[in-house]
Amino acid sequence: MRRGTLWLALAVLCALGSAACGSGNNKQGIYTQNYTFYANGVNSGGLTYSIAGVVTIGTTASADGSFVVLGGEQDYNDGHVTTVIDDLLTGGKLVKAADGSATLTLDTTSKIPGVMGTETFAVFFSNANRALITEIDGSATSSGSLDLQSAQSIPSGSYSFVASGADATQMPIVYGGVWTVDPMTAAVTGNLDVNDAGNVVTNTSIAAGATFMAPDSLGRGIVMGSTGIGTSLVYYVVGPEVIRLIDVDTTDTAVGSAYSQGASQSFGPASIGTSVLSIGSSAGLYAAVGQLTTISGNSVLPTFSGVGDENESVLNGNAPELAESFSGAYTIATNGYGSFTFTNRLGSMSVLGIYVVDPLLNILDPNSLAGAGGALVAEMDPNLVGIGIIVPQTTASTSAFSGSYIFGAQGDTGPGDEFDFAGVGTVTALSFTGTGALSDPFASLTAGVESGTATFMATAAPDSAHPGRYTLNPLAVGATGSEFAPFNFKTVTAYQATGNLLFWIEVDDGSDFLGSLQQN
Amino acid sequence: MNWRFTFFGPCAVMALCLLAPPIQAQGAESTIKSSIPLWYDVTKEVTLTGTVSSVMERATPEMKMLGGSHVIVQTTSGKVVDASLGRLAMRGEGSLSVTLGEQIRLTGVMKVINDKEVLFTRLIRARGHVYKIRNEHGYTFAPESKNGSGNSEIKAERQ
Repeated sequence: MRRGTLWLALAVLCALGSAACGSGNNKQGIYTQNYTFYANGVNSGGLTYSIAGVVTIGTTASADGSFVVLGGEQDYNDGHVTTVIDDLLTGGKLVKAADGSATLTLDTTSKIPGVMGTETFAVFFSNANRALITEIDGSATSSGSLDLQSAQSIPSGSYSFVASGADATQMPIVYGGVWTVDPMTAAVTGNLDVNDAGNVVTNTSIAAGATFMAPDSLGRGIVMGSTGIGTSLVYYVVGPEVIRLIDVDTTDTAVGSAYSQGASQSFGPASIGTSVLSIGSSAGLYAAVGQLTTISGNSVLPTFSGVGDENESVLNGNAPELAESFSGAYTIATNGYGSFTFTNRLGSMSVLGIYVVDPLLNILDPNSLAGAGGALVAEMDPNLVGIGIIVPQTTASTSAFSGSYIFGAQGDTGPGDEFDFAGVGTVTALSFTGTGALSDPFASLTAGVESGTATFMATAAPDSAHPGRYTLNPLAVGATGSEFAPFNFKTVTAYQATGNLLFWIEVDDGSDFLGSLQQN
Repeated sequence: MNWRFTFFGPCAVMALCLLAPPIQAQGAESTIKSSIPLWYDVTKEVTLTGTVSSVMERATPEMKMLGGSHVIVQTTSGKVVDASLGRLAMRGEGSLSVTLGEQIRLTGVMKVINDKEVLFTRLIRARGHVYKIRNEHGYTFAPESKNGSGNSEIKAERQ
């Protein structure tokens, strides 16, 4: 769908009624949509922070063309100084442009997050139900997503989950695992992996007593007892198969997601085939992307091998790895819980926890019906701390890498020196051009800027030795005005999962980013 | 349903902590450590004593140094050492404070980055205090925050 017609189609769908728009409802005589959002990044205190919430937006444009925020709620937590739980949203608006970009402002009751309690996000829709977001109000920088909320019901059944954040000393921490929510009691059972700044504990049984409580009318609920993801956990429903998670402890922070494993659990090594891997974290100061194939069968030890790019130079000064071969052995249990153990490492990457999701689910676009499953991953070795995903690689065709995309990434030039960017763009004959937001409030790349009119340009060069891998050297970033001096990300690599989805990574010494390009 | 700050009372915090499962079991940790090459290996730590010749609260990309804070120290043998301190050692309440000309002792792992030696500093002893900068895997702590979390060892340990 051309972006010029995207909003028209959305408006028509909404005008036809709530059924066409999922969770549409009527509030104050106005048709509305709920969107579930989450993000993580660094705030002005230099602290890793997490945010998750749901926002209710009117579907009829106001006189100025904007769409009013009619309500919602969110949780904000840096686990160190500021924790604001269940902060009601009192106003704000979504201002859309014709190209799929938008600006969302959220007014909070607490008047704590953002600037005097108002947060501003740059929003980039790939379709009416799905957007990448980045905070651009100067109070913080972060990346996340905004998805149409298509259900508000309590989770039930088996899920895989990951979350990342910072522990009580602001060191990076990640969680991963599988759990089952009893359909009658909502009690949680399952297995948990934790990597707390290199201290790794895997396959811990979730303690008895953790129970999902019914969500409120906006799809926000709490988990009584401890799942092991922090202590106090809040969830927001995206849809029947996906929830966002946020740790609201005052002494640590994390945000993540749980994805359904589907109706039946009969996973095994064959659940992971030819795939693209994307993993890293801003707090953990590294990024990695690669593609891999697996060999599995009744008579062989399941193995994986592939090629990847990895950058941990910001963390420890190690030289970035480009098109590096990696390999190892792996396990996947019937409940979807497993691990990758590297014998030929990708950088310092040594062990990954693997948590398989519903093979019909689209991890990046939960409302999409075109899903191919995959798995969530979490780094489970002493060297690196991050989370990510594995998704099937269905085409490495260069001709499929074409058309309109939304894109985004989160990166670092130093510890706490985070930047984020996101935008909309097109790829024509492997030439990429885009416009969007550059969030660099703490002067990691520029003198310090929150730009909504940054430009992005690169030419993708296919790697003939590794079909599916592209170099985009350099990715040139400019300003439409004079907000900041143009600069280049000199060394950027992308790996293609499908024509609709690529993951990209910056592999410069002393600067990394990790993100994606997504199509409808 | 109202927003609220979450400055829980001490009893509530203790109760929540008691419910939390252990997340740093040493057995699992040591199993993994024994088989994986580590970028920060405590068995390769060195201890140096020297005089502070420069303090950088935040290295910029133009400096071509590892990001975060740095202290440049001239050792008693005349060697100049770049001590990397990570992002939060010099930020916030209870943070590290050293001055030019001050004598300090550093413990960490030396690495060569861009042909220069950098000490990934885990401990600094200065003015009778021991500042714990990193954990045994090389990740940097934050100073103690106003709500009591953070690196309590910064204030607690005295020589």
